[in-house]
Amino acid sequence: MSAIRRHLWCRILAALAAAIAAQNVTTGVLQAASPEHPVVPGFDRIYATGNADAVEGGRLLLTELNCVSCHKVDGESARQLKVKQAPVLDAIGTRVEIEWLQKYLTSVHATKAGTTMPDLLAGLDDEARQKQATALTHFLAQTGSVSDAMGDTSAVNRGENLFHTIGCVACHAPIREGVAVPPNSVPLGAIADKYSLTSLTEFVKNPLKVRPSGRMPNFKLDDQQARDIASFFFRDKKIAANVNYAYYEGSWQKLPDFDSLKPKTGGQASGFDVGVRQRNDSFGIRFTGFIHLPKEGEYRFFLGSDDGSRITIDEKRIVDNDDIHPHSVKEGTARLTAGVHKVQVDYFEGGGEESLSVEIQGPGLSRQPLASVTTITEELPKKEVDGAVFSLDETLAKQGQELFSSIGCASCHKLKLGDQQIPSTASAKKLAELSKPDEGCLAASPTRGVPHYRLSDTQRSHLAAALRELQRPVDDTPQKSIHRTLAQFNCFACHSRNKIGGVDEARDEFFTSTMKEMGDEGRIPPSLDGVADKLTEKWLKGILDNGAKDRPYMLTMMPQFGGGNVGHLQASLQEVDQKTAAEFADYELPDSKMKAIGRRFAGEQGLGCVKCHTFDKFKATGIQSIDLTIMAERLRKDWFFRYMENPQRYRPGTRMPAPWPFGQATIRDVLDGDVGKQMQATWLFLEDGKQAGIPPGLNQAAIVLKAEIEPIIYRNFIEGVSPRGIAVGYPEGVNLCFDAEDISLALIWENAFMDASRHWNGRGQGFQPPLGDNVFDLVRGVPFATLENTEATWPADPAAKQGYRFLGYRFNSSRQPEFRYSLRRLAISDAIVPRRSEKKLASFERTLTLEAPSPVANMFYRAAAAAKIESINGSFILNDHMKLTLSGAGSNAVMIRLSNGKNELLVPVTFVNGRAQISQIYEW
Amino acid sequence: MTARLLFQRSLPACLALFGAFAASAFSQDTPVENDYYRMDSFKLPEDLVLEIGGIEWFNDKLAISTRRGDIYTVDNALAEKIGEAKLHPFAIGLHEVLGLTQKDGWLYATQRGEVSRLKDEDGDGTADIIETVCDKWGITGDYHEYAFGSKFDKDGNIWVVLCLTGSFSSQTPYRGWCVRVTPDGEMIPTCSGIRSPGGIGANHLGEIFYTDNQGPWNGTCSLKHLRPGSFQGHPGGNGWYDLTSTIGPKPVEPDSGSRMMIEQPKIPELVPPAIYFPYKKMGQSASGVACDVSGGRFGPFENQLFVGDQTFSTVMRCSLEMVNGYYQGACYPFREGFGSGSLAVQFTPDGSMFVGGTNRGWGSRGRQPYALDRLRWTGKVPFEIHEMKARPDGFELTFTKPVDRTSAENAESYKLETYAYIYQGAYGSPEVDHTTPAIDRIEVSDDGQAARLFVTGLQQGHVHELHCNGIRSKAGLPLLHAEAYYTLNFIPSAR
Repeated sequence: MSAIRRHLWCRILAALAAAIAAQNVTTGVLQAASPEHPVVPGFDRIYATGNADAVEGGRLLLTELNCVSCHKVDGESARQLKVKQAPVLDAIGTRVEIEWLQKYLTSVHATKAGTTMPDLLAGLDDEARQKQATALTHFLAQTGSVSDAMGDTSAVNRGENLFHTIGCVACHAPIREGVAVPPNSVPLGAIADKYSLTSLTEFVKNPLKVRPSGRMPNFKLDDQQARDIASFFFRDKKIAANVNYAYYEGSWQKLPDFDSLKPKTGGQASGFDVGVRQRNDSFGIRFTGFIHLPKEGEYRFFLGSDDGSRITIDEKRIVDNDDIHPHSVKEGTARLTAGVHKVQVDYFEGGGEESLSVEIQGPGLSRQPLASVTTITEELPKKEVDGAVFSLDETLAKQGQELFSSIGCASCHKLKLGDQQIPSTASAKKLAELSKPDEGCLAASPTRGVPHYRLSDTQRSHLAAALRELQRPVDDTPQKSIHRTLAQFNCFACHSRNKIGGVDEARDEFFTSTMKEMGDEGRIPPSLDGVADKLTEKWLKGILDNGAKDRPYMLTMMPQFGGGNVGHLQASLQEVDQKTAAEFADYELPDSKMKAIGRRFAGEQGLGCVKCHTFDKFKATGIQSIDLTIMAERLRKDWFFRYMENPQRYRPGTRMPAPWPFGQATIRDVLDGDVGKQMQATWLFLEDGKQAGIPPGLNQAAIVLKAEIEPIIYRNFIEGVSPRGIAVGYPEGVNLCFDAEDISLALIWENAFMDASRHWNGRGQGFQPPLGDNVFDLVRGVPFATLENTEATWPADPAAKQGYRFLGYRFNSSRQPEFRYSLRRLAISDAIVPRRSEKKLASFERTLTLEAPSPVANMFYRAAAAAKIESINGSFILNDHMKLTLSGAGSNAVMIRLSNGKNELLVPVTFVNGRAQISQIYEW
Repeated sequence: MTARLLFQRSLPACLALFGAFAASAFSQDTPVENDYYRMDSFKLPEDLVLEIGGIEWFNDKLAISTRRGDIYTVDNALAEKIGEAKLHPFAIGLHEVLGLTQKDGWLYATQRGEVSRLKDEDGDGTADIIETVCDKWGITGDYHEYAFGSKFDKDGNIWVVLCLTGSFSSQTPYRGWCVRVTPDGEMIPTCSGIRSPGGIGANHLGEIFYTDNQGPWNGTCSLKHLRPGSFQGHPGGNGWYDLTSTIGPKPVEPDSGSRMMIEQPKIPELVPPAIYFPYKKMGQSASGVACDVSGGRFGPFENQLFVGDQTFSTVMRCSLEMVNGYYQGACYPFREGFGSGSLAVQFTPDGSMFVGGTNRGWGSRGRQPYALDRLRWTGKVPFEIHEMKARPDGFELTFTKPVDRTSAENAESYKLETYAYIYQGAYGSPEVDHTTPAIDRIEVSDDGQAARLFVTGLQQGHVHELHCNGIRSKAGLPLLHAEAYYTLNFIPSAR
């Protein structure tokens, strides 16, 4: 044993005693309730007390304590008792501090009370235990090293808030002065000793990466949120100084040349912290240090300050944010090699507020304070274990690797070194062969070579019961399987089902809402009773696979547990919950008309759905409940119809009023007051999702254009049309958009005309869709073309290239515009006017007049192109919806042909004395 | 009761008297712009939003066009007293009309996508025919793709300047170009290199100028001469040389980070900006252009150009001269305080100037969202620098009124500095390359109407910023505006 290593051992022994003593002090509040046994929240919740089903409880522990990782099971049991993957240790060295590892491995339960990891060294004498723990530490340290970083006060405050609102405390104990630790709290240990701010941030951002089995789900936090939560845990950590600074005083309008000034003082600081100043106005600071970059590539630097600042890297200016200004952030980029670079940040403050933030983002670095990668000298500080500089000992590491295989670490943990997965060489009896209820892992005191879990008596007896009954078939109905999964993943911490689970009283205050007036409905995660009856298969799968954020008002989030972990719930839930019981009324109107009615129902003057439900980006006028545009994708139609009849039946206590109270329509003059039809109209509207028209009353900022007495014209960027659209709204309630670039009638629709607010506010970027309903998108293309024969395809070149020229429009005596255009020498007038339709359908009559100075042969008018065209009683029906009736020149020789995958309605144009006229009626 | 009434009457009377005294005392000491150019503001109807982008005198009425796409005629716009504007809709629902002109009873409107002409056939004051004259340039739907149309030139063409798609690129034909629309609706690509125009207009000789705005390849806003075949400096639209042969081959690409007058000799097509409007000194977004050809009805600035600034809510004054075959000249503050962001500037036959404003999308000092203001010369001649002209060895200043010789001959009365802008693809430029030339000698003409400044250290390619705060008129008044900014692209050679 070398002198250095002997020294290390002495230090470790001394430190260990200190660490254990320190834990008793630092954990303060937690101390009283530090669990004595491994915490499996589902077990503690359901099986730990009273006369619970011991066999079921024991079986839960068999997976949650990973018994089945060593004690193999086969056959049917293997399906029921799935192995829980312990944390993947591939890069543990980059996540966990070496010092903590050493401490943890030396004494698992003293370091993290309540952990489900057994102590594999518990039965050894002190010296052997420490020796093996050190070897394991050196082995694990090979996988990388942790980089340090600092949080800031605002991040700590945000993190504190996030931790206590998004759902962390559904499983973990709240960390608040005076709040007792509720039972069933999954222990966190001394997190700030274990991780660094950077590595905890990475872990929190996606826990499934290292813990794929989903017991710690993924909240899908963004970089900042993850960093905030991590910062909260590092609130008391002080990081060693990592920048040099020189402090100057003087009055400047711009950054001075610090080189030519004499600093008043200087020293070392933690981060680019203007806190080193000696007064609040008229001062300047130059920070210098070195940054250590993991990879070569393009790095972005964000420099925010009040007043001026500048970043220089390797003597090159990267971001200049000079002059007097309030806090404002500027960006710059630099291509940098991997390794060390010299950094200098200059800053000055004139008067008023002072602030400085310096951040970096680049390959392998999420956006974070530059201070995270900054050091005082060119060298990275060495890791210390108990005051001694840690240096990796390869012999020890090799020993550690052997231990990792032999004593059973590798039975639960995956660890890849290079390309090689470290195998387990530990052997254990098959689960079925375990018969003695007080030996091995179940023994009350640690035994050499046997994992020590520190089980409670209840856990021990339940495990024994489960082992005893292992051969007996278990209740494997879907109900039971659902229950087991909900217990395993602690879903019961938030949700209730069949009167089991739901938010604990002790944690209730941490379930909050942005909409207090919604009451519990707004803050408590929904009951899972009948969940698969309510949600569509797709939506349910999405939630299980990815989590959900459908209730914007609820601060607790539904995290991602992962399809591989909980996906099997879907089939069971569907089998148990799903009903087909609703009746759907028949209706006569075309869907587009029904949707228009549904849209009015959703609106302010209808059923008023938009008063409480948001609609895509539009806020509701009252509380902000679930987005209407996801309803049809989210809810099963069958459930929706039943729910609409009586919401209280499905969600007792809900604020959702019955839209058709006691099965009666309150709007009697629409769809004959028929509830079934009205419900169909509402559902059809919802089915359009984000494509649905905005219900009336929602868009307060709308500038609604309306034709009062005369037609109204709106030339602007209209969605679905070229930038040369000319929209015309008629007082009769029908509208069209003519495309002056494509020379085609592009869109026709009814009811409301256009909302001009997009174009008439600000700079007016973007295309705006029609405001009304029943929008029929006519297939584009020029109206007239010369075809050599009836097989020739309709020309698709731009209209101008085909010889078309748009000539504008004239108003007739009713101030209806008549469009005019020419095709080479042919003059064409295109008059489209509203007409009354017998069946209250929307209708236009279009009259096309052609004048030719010389004879024209083989000219055709393409009256329509559509996926489907049927000829019925002399008229034509497009896509089962639009009825066309043709008269005038050539209308007796209309042909339907299939060309280029579309049906086309062609009319041969016959001229008499150089003139031809075609009339076409649209009804839809 | 009687006593109270008396008291009530007498108090405002006293105040009025005091006010009149104060005002007259003030105006004698320091004249203000309104003393010479009186601004009358129209009260616009509350139910209409008139963000004015074009103005024309049409059928004996003032016609105004709006960004919302409407054209209105205004009754009695020339009346001595204007109150609430009486408006009549001429056409509703066009696409952002930023240019009006007229011929033979037709009103020509430049919309985003086309030049159209409109006619009222039945005489009810509303157009019955809207004809497309030319729609041969492209639009993508990007908000930035504005089109500004000129008045008719002497050949009957309308010049249209087409803003780029955004600040940097041209996504569809002829964005970033000036095109001419001929009487028969043909389109002639005429100049390239345009970025983001704010207005277009002719000088008294019929030469067409437009304003371009600070941004890529434009260190600051400027007035540029649209010489056919020229490249105006922003290469973003130069891809379209592949489509047309009307103005020759594509010019050489400028070097970013250089200076205009370093690049100009290398690029024969490059016409340097005739007048730079120094950023945040003269304005921030140059707009409409109009020339005073009123024959003196608008005061002493016959044939000078007047240019709006949207951000500063001002109208600036410009004098031009031809040096080395290129227009260059000086700009001067003229009138501030317009109601909204000045966009359209137009003279009417009586010699009034109309300014239409909007600040939608871009802020302005004028607080109103839109405005229509009229400016009339009161008949009093302001004491102003009439013109600043370049000489081989300095400058010549002419004044609107004779100067006090002692003050004008005193070098201390002047302050001259110069600077340039970086000519670069990045957005805008700070002032760079500052110098301070020396004014060696000053000669004042016998009539006191002119002063010759002999200067050592003239800087070609620099703006020469001159302040004449010490000069007094014979009557002892300071200049109404003491600043002039001369863009010295070329130093005239001695004859």
